[in-house]
Amino acid sequence: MDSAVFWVVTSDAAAARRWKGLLSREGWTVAARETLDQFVHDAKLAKGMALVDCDALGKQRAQALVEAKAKARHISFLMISARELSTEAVIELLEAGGDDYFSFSIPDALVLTKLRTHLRRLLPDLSRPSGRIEAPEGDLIYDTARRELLIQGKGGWTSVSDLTTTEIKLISLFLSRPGQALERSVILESVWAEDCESVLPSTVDKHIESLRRKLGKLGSRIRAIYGVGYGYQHGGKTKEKP
Amino acid sequence: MRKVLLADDDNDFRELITCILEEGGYEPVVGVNGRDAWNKLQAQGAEMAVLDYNMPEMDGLELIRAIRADARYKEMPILMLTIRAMVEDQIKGYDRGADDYLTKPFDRHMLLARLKVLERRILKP
Repeated sequence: MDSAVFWVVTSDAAAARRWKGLLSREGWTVAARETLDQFVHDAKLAKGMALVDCDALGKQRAQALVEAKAKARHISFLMISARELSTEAVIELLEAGGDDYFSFSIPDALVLTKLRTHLRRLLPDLSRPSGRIEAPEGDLIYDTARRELLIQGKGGWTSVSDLTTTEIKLISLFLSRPGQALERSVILESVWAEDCESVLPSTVDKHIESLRRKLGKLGSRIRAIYGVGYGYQHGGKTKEKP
Repeated sequence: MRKVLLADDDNDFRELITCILEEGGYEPVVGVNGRDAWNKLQAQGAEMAVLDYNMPEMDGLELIRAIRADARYKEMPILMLTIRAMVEDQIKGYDRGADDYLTKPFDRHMLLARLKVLERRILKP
């Protein structure tokens, strides 16, 4: 299991399902363990990040965290809890080696943004999703390894073969943030990076219009949001994957 | 002593954060707005940054963009410390390149604990 990017450590089955589902949809490999001992045993040689339920640490949270970190040395520990911990308790965990803390009530969009930031900074070699980014509807999949976009139609799955590099970056961005309104500035920086200063707003519109055309009837899911930018609007049935 | 760039246009917060940084064993490099902080960074350097969001002349997001565009500071840990607590603002801050985000009013020990987390990343082999 040392290929996992994320580990979820909690005995709360509902929480485990939520975190696993959320992270898997991002294309990250996720492994779940119910106890800290199981996790440390399986992850001691692994490199990645762990979302560790504070309840899994027992009563001596800080001590348990220090000991777990000493054994799983290449894992970054992000602490999570069903209830908001006190400021003192959070500080204690951060000082004991925790890399972040958030409660289960954190919105999905924010936690994914924080996790991407952690990955980019702490594990840049693992920050690329390992497999696929798929639309919530299940009928649009971007294969990150093969750089291939697949669309499910009546006749089965077809590959969109004529996407430009910019369009690939755009669809990856939209699929990784379904339902989110993405500001033009965020799109510019995500897709054009350091060249974003020299890109005209109309250039973004042209690339998105071209992408929409190539997506066919699914292109309408990329919606212009007045005064903001664009967003991938999702809703519909999940279909069988290829 | 590790230098920390501080950018905040509010006099009271700037003085408070300066004191906290000094108490935490850091050497604050202080700017009264984003532009001033950028100039101070160019002149004095820093290894970490604590930036406000809303500032005249150059706001926190513009300052992050400038910092990240400078090869010397591309990897510099940045903590945004701001009154803007909306989820959308936090996401925007992270998307622009912040490494952590703390909202005002804040606990001084929490600020120092968060800075220690970022400092560990500098020290990480």
